[in-house]
Order: sequence, then structure tokens, then C-alpha cells
Amino acid sequence: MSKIIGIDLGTTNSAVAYLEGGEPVIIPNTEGGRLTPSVVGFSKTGELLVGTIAKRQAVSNPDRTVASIKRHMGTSHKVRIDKKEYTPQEISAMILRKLKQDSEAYLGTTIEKAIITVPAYFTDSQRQATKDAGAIAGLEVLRIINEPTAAALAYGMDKGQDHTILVFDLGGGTFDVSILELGDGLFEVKATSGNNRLGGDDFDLRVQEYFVKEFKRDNGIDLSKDKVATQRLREAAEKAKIELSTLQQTNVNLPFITMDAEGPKHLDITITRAKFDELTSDLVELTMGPTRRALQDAGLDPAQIDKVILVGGSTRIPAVQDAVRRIIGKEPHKGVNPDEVVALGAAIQGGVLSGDVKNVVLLDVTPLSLGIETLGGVMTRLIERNTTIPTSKSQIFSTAADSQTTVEIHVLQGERSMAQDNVTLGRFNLDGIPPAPRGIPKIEVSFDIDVNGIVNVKAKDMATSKEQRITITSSTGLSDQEIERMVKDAEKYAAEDAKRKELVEAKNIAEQSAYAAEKLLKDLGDKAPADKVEAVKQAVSEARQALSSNDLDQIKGATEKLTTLMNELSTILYSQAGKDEPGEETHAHKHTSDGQTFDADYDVEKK
Amino acid sequence: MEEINIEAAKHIRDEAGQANTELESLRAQLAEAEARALRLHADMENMRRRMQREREEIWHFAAADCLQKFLPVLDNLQRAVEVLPDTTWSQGVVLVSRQLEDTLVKFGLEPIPTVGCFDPQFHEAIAQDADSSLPENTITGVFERGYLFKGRVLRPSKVKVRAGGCSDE
Repeated sequence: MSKIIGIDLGTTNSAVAYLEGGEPVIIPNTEGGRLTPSVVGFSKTGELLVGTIAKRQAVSNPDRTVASIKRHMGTSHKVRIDKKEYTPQEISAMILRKLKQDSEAYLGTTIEKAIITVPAYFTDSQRQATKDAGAIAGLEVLRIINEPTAAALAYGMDKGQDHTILVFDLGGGTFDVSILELGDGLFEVKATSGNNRLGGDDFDLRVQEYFVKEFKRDNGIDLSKDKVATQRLREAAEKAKIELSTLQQTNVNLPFITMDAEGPKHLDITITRAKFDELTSDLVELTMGPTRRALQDAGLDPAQIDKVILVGGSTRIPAVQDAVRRIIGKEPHKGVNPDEVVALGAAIQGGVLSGDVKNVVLLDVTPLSLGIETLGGVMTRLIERNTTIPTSKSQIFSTAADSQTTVEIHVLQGERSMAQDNVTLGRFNLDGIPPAPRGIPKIEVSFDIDVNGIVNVKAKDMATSKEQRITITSSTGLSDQEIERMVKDAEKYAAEDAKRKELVEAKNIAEQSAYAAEKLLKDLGDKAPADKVEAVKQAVSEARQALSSNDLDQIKGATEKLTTLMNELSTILYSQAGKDEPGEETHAHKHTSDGQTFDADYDVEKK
Repeated sequence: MEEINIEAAKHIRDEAGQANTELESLRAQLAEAEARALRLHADMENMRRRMQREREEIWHFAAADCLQKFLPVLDNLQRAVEVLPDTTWSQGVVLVSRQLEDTLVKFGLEPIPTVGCFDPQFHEAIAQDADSSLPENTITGVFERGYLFKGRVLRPSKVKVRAGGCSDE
């Protein structure tokens, strides 16, 4: 079955997306862009130009270039080029055909079916014209859907309980606000309003005018009369606008912008976000009227709006977001690229129609990490948060004490380093482990999360194959807020937790070293030099003492001392083992550094 | 007795029928699941291939973004060179400008020629020139030089074009 593409056929720009493994993905055009200008041009030689290339020749060939044809959809308007008349459907079809061809080139398959979006206020005849445009382009238009609905789909708002959504769409040249109501999985448009001559370009123009004014004040020269300068200013204005969405201020530096009798003139202006907001405050205010009107038409209070979605590149402007926040009193949904959200939603609709969405198991992720408690109360993670499920992971653990026959598996969920700060999902014991020195038994702990988020934890003694398991069905019993809080806490306490973890690890190492030292002394028996034994014993007791102090430096110091002594002792042990000629060995030792002579002397004495 | 047998036979037939329907439905489900798995697999294969292609492309054009950010510096140096009075001071700046361009060219930057016909593949029309005596659609001036990088337009040349007569006339 061929893929269904979703097309956002915009006034200024268009975008196309498709569903890949259940996720909507934007298809770049052959020029590498993710948006294609909705511009069509006919070259002098009769060649058809669409998109970026058509836009580039618009100035030199205005009579044969068509932009913003969407404004004429469904009307009897005709475009006359080279004595031939084109309907808006035919012009739109040229854009759609390019999108279709570029998609085919990208995906390597033929595309026959599409979902196309239109503004919510489009009349039946405008919708029919859009559908016809698709047919002319060789596309079977499975459905025409509303742009705000597509945006809501991209945010997955068709699921869950019924709610009211406000879609605020400030594009390149048009502004639309729509109020949707979701009921029984269907979206109903309650009200729409807007301003079809307001968009991002207006914001650029304000900045550009400001540059001209500032330059005139400082240099007495009017740059707006200069074509080259105007071109440079326009680009710089757009760049400044974009930068001010993330920065508090930006510098605009245009050297040699013009010349006068005194020589070259340069433009060097720093513009702050506050200044930008001041220059454009009336434009932002222009969006508020239609928003209020839409609310009024829908008969709703701002408080009755459950969700707000931002669409269109200009909604990246912080002042626009603030205005929306103020009027609705809610944080707008962000996260999906506002330039692409409509096309992505259309692709999802395509998936729903083809059954792809229903069939594809919507893969979820684990909201929090899962793990078990290990020595010293540390949480050892087996599955990290945001891992796509279903998934499974296993790791080998061992015992912490000699002759330990039971291990307790304490299953934890959370992001903190220490077990006690996380949520307990369950506990169980694995017993019947054959007595062995600590660290010897091998116990495999496996976690398995199925599609439904049900966690299975299994512990298996590798020696006896004895196993014990637990099934946790309520691991997602946490609300979104709780999960959020747990993740935030983990960030907040990260430094503190790391310190505690370091202490526990240091203690574990100290404890292990003391244990290993005692074991070594026992194994050595009287083979070990008495003074060394004494020194090690002393160090072991110091390490044990340090352990109860909970002082990281003290524990580390004691461990280090013990390790050094142990190394010295092991050296003796190894050099003795497998050497039949004591004399030779002594000899060898005597030739090592001075620090070693003490050991060598002892060797001689002992033998 | 016979009646009971008939009843039993009916019952068995019904059960067999039911089992058959269930079998059919399971078969259909299996076929659907297999088709779905296959499709998903194909999707993944295609995705892998495309990812590979995209990765190669990213690698190939990695320098493009960086070069693009250097273009305004080059533009402005060239603007400076154009207006500087000819002195030994300015000659030094000319050399610096050339050095920068040479360096960028070594990285794969390629200036777009701006003589002759206007071609929207490489040029962007910023203004029309109605007065020129040159033929229609000829480039009559350059506002900003454009560049290619490995054959791809990094930035089109911004040019002034002799107005084309409208064929409607």
C-alpha cells in the first residue's frame, strides 16, 4: 500500500510530512528545505518554477509569478500568464505536484494519496477547490482537514477525555485563531477569527523601519531610498527578530551600508528584546481582538479553555507567547515545531485513515528509571528513564556477606541515587543460595517491561538455576505531577546525592579491602612476616574505625593505607610462590630499590 | 435414542462450525499481524537506508553551515575594498580580503558567476532594471555575490535584472 502524505498548503509556505513507524516526519524538498514557499513562476522560456526558485525570480518576473494563491481559493479569480488563464486550483496544483514529486524522490516510492489541510473558516467551495487542486496534481485527497485540528492531532489531543482547545496560528502573512471542542474523539470547530493580513513579515518591517530611523538620526541619510541597503536591512531585521526570541539583545552590524562625501557609513545598532517588544506591541495587540472575539463567539470564558496550541513561526516571539498566556491564563503547549505542526498532524490523520496509527502499537516510554537496591542503600539502575518499552535488561549481582544464602531484591523506581529516596515497587527474596564467600555467587537480575508497562523482575541463582520473580502492575500508578516532581527532585538533589553515593561507595571499598586483608592474612598464616601482619592488622582496624566515622576523607585515607600495605604483602606472597630458589629470589629483591630491602631481609630470614 | 443422537450430532456440528469460524478469524488475525510486522520491518529498512544517506550527506556538507556564517565577513571586506581610496594601506586590506576568499575557496566555496542570463537556480532578483540597453533577463548589477558549496547553492547571488517585457502586452 502506498504511503499517505499530509500536506499543509499554506498561504506563504507549504510543508509535507508522512508517517514513519508511527511517528510523523517532515519530508524535505529537493533543495533541502523543510518548508516550500507557496510561489509559482513561469520563466520566459515557459518553464514552470515552484517554491524557492520561483520566489527568487519574483522581482524580475512579477507578471509571471503567483504568490499567496490561497487567498483566492474557491473564487472565480483567474491568473493570466502568457495569454493563458489559470484557476487558483490549477496554481495550487502546481505547488502540490512539486510537494508530491519531492516526497516521491525522498521516499523512493510513488505517492498517490494525501490529506490536505485548510483553515477552519474555509467554506465548502474553498474546500472543494482545494480537493480539486489535489486531483489536478494527481493526488487522491482522502480528506480535507482543518489546520487547527491537524495541530491538535500533532499534539495527540484526540486522545483522552473531552476538552476545549484554542489554536493560535500566527504565520508568515496570516493570523487565525480557532476554538475546537473534542467530543467522542471528534473535533468540532466552535469559533474562528483572525486577520488575514498580519504575520511575521510585519514584525520584520518594524525592525527594519527602526534601523532606518536610527541611522537617519545619527547620519542624516535615508537608507530606505537605497535598494542595496534596504535589502541588507531586511535580512538583518529578520535575523535580529529570530535572535531576540532566545536572546535578550542582539547586535546588528552592517559595515559600508552607504557612502557620503565624508566617506563610508556603517550601521552598528544593538537592539534589546524590550525595544523589539516596544516596536511591535501594537502588532501583538492586533492578535488579541480576534482571540477575544473567538472566545465570545464560542460563548466561552478564557478559564473554560483547557489547552492552548501555538502554530506558525511568529509564535516563537516571546511577547506573543506572553500575550496568549495573559489572555487565556494558561501555559501554551510547545514542543512541536510551530512551522511544521500542521503538516505533521495531517500525516497523523493519514495514518489514522490507513489504519497505520491504529495498527502501530503506540510505543510508550518509562517515565522513571527502574532498578534495585544494592550494598549500602544505593539504587542501581537497570532501565533508565525515557527508555522505549517494551524492553528488558539483565545484570549479574552477587552477595555482600560470606555464606549469605538469601538475597533481597528491592525493586525501585525513581531518579535519586539512594534507594531510600525512591519509590519501592516491590520486594522479594531469593533463597537457597549455596553458602559461599561473598562476591562468589552469581545472581542474575532481569527486568522486563511489556507493552502495557507491566514490570516483571526475576532473580536467578546461576549456580542452582533457582529463581524467584515478581510482577508489578502498578508501576505507572504515579500521576504526571508526581513523576515531574520526582525528576525535578533528582535534579535538585543531584549534588547531595552524588556525595552520599560517593561516601557509600568509599565505605563499600573500605569494607571490601578490610575483608580481603583479613582473608589474605588468614590464608597466609605464618608465611607472612610478623611485622607486616601487625601493620596490616593495624590498618584494618583503622579502616573499620574510619567506617564508623562516616568521614569520606578518613575512610579514603584508611583504605589507601590498607591497600598499600596489602600490595606490599601480596608482592611477597607472589614472589614466594613458584620460586624454588630462595637464594635467587633474595638476590633479586636485593637488587630492587632501597625501599624493598626490608622485605628481602625478611625473605632470607624466613627461608 | 435416535433423537438424542441427532441432537448430539447437531451439537457437534455447531461446535465444529464455531471452531471453524474461530479458526478463520485467528487466521485472519495472524495474516494481519504478519503483514503488519512485515510492513514495520520494511519501514525500518527504509529508514535505516535513508538515515545512512542522510548521515553521509551531513558529513559531506558539514562545513556548509560554518562557511555560510563567514560569508557576511567576506562580503563586508569586499565592500571595504571597493570603497577604500587606493593607498598602500588599502592595498593591505585588499590582500587580506583575497586571503580570506582564497582560504574559503580551499574549503570548497565557489563563487557563482553573475554575467549573462539570470537563472533563478543560482540568482535571486532583488531589483528590476528598466533602463538598461541590455537584452531582457540579463543581469545588470550584483548586490551580493552568491556561492556554491560542493555544487549546492549556499547562497544565491543577489542581482539586478533587466526587466522582461510582459508577454501580455
